[in-house]
Amino acid sequence: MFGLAMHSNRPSFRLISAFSMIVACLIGRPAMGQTLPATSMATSPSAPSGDLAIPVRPLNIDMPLPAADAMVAQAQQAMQRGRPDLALAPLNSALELFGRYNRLSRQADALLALAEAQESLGDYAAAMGSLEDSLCLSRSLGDQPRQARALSVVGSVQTCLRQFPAAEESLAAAMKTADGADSELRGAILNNSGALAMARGRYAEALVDFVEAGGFAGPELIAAAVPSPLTARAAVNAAGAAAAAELTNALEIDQQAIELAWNLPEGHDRAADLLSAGMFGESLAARSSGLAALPASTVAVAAVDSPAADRLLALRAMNEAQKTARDIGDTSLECFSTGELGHVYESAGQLDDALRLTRRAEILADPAGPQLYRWQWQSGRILAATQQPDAAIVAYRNAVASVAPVRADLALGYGNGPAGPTFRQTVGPMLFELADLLLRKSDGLAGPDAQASLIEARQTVEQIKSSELQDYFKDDCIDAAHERLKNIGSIAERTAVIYFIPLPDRTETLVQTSTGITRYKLPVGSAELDDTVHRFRQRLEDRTTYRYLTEAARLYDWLIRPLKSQLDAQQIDTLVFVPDGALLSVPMESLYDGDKFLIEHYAVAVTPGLTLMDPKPIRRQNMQVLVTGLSQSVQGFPELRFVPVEVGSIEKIYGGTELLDRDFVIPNLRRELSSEPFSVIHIASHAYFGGSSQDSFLLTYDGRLSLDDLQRLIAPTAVPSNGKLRPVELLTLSACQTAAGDDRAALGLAGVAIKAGARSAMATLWPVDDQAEATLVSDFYARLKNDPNLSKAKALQQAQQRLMTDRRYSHAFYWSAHLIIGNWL
Amino acid sequence: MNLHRYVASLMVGAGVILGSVGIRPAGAAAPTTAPSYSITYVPPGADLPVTRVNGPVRGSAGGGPNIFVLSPEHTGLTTQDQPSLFWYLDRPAGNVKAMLTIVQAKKPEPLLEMQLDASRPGIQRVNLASTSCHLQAGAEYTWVIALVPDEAHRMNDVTRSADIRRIDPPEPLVDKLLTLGSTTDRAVVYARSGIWYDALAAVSDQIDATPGDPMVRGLRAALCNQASLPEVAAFDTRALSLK
Repeated sequence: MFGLAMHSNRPSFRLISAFSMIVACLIGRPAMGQTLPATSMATSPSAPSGDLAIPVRPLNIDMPLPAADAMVAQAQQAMQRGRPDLALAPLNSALELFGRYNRLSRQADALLALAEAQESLGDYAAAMGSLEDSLCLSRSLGDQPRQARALSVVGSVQTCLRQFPAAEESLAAAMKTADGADSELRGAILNNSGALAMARGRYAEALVDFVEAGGFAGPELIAAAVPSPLTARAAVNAAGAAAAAELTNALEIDQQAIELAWNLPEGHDRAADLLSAGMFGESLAARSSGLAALPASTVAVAAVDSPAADRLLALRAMNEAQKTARDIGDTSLECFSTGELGHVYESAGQLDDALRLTRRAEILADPAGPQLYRWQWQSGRILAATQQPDAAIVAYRNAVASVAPVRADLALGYGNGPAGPTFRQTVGPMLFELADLLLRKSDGLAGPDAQASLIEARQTVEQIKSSELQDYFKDDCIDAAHERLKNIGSIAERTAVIYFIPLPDRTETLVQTSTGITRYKLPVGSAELDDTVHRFRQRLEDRTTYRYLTEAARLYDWLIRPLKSQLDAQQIDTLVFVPDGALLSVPMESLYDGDKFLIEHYAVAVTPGLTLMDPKPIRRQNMQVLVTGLSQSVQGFPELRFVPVEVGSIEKIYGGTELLDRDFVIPNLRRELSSEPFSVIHIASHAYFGGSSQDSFLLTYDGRLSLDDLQRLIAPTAVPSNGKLRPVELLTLSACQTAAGDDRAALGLAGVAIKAGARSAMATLWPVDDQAEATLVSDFYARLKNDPNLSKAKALQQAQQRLMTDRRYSHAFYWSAHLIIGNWL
Repeated sequence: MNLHRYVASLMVGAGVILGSVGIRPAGAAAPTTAPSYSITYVPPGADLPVTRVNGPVRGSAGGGPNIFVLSPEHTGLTTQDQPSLFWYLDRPAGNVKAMLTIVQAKKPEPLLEMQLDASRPGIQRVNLASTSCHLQAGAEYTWVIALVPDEAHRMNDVTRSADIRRIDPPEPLVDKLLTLGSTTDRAVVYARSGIWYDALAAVSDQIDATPGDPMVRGLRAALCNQASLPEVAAFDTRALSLK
């Protein structure tokens, strides 16, 4: 479901449509702003300074100022043509004039208009700044309606930024301030409240808001309303809410919304509303009446009479939107509606029409804008469906190149559902489809050509990894050092890097060794693989039975057995996995060949991507170790009885600094970490990884460390003698847990080293029996210290093998929870 | 362990026992009332590996009921194909489900998986004779008691486990047992012979038969203390002091 960020033709007014996944980005330019702190302007004291003791109203002259008024009108026209970028300059000039001649209410209005333009350009930070100024001004004037308008827009920007509680507060304050104001202002606020409810996935609540916003007597009586920007927008939004709530009358509501929007005056609003309503209607009608053939895209839809009347009505609205956008010179909206029409034809299987429309959208798209990749991707899909794989690969490559600069913005905007779209829902499928095409292409090739295709497929997978981590951590600094790693053989002998690429119909495995890439195909699709992996994880956590062996053996047969003869022939002793999705949440070392576990044959490590890591062996000389731990029960978390033993045993091996319990507080950590460049940081405390980095933390005696805090604390420090950055070699989190069944949580764990700026991490997928943990960890460190040639992966392998010989800990729950992440050397 | 050495230790144990029954004074672990018997569990070997798991799991929510399996720290023995297993719950588990599972290493399907009554605290008995589960002679099994607060996330289980091995009773022991009259006598002989589960079952049988007899409770408390289960021993000791 897509929709659009909307602008009313009144500068003092703000209406938004609730349905877009990527609303503001689609129509505007990429956002430049970072996520803002969730401040609520509703409660912040924002009166101008000096205004605290005696309220003195500033001088406000309520008279026209023709020069500035003309600039505002020019900005309005730009907005109506879908060119918010052209509204900025006239608004800024007008603002200056209004200020100079004390037209303060007008200045407040112009600031609001500026905020709207900035918002539709995706610059949420600038929009918030303008809104704050506008709000200040209206407050000083004691102008309640203007304050209410500003607060309402604040609420909508906060909705886009997914700061839901703050948005709710702002909108409630707006409603309170607007008490007694005209019904149109109240309607606008209600509309924004509905958009917030949509973004939170509360569709029924949203529908009530939209019906009330439009002043409709009920969902069935929408067409009877007087057409206005507010009623049309509220009606379109109501249709989207009804569709999302899967109400049976959704299509009926949508058709009334189309009628209402049709009668709006020519302009951006009319086109945008018709397009949104048409898109809802299209997907609703396709769902109910099936995929009847559509009239050719070149035929005037109105002239065709067909049994699929519902679909045609929707298609007609989209066509009208396209035409209107073209007529008013709103290229961005024309591009969007053309591309969406292409999508309609693609869904109907009329691929010639689909490709023609999509190519047209590609031409119309702003080369630096956020729409282009979507239409390039759509072209690629259509070309692949029409058996033109080479052309499809070119289209996909273009799409991948176009999405890079705008990707970070795709997670913002009005989304349906509280979590916001993840990488897997936005760009992920595109990259997987490209990898799929490249892998298939290598089927028909041999020698260097086949290798080239496989290398590109591997690069694509690497890109998936880095994008996904950026998305998880909301951190653009996590980026692949492209092709830093040409040949795995040059950094590690007898090592194989194994990529698993789950696709809908099969799972592909790429094995990279010193001799090149070998490809294996497994006729098991991603859904079946995921099911098995999730069951495996669930059963691994159950210490009462060995049922996990069933899945451990099945996964071995699927994923490892086919590779075995190659691994044997090349005398491989270390496997580095680049797993995908669900596979990140299980320890590969516990796969089972019917007699032995994988760890009994190979040292194992996991990395979210080879290009993401710095392939240097761990320094063994002068290792400076910071050992921290929390054994006492704090903040409702249980005690960890063996932590003092664990901490003590590491200290015995390495010496170093120790922060235990009362000393394990954030100020001490900060002091220690800024005073010395530690090479190993060991944290024996509860750590939790959730579905996003906001839900993830590490427990200290006095509070919780977020992953951002951790990053700031242990970021590489420069060595005083030569100024070189010296990152932490190893970060150990010995009591981590990842939410079971949540593949994103495992992603967070896998990315923790990269996020924290450490070369590698050792961490647990689930918390382990205290004594087993203490035994394994101290054994690992002792081995690392005693044999300078032993890699981290091998030290862990040996420690795990020793632990599993202890009858108490023979269940893989105890010995397989640990992962070496990132640099395994 | 070497079977010959093991059988030999049983025989020695059986030989010594005659002198001790009924004449030994109460040991240090004996409760308030001095029993006329004393009981000494002699492990079936020296330096046996620890196989019992009693300990908290990191990250799991604390504060819930605690459980213990009544077993020595090493693998305990039984001569029964359907022995009784004992566990201890320190407070009612409320809605938390309790499970007994019997497994063999590296065998995916458990021999037994049954729900237990966890509504009453105290020492609980599961008689395998009431199930279809039979232990093979010479084979080793792990029995696990789990409190399962959330069936979808078994990571949160509180589990305690111990290993058990069924042996064929050596001839001298069989002969000896035939000459003994009381259940308590048998318990003492089993304990001396290193056959933990049978000793514990015999003592518990006697407790069931004469619930008011402080002496037998004292014997069970002594056994638990000898297996480093002071929390469980305290339960029987408390029961004594209440009498």
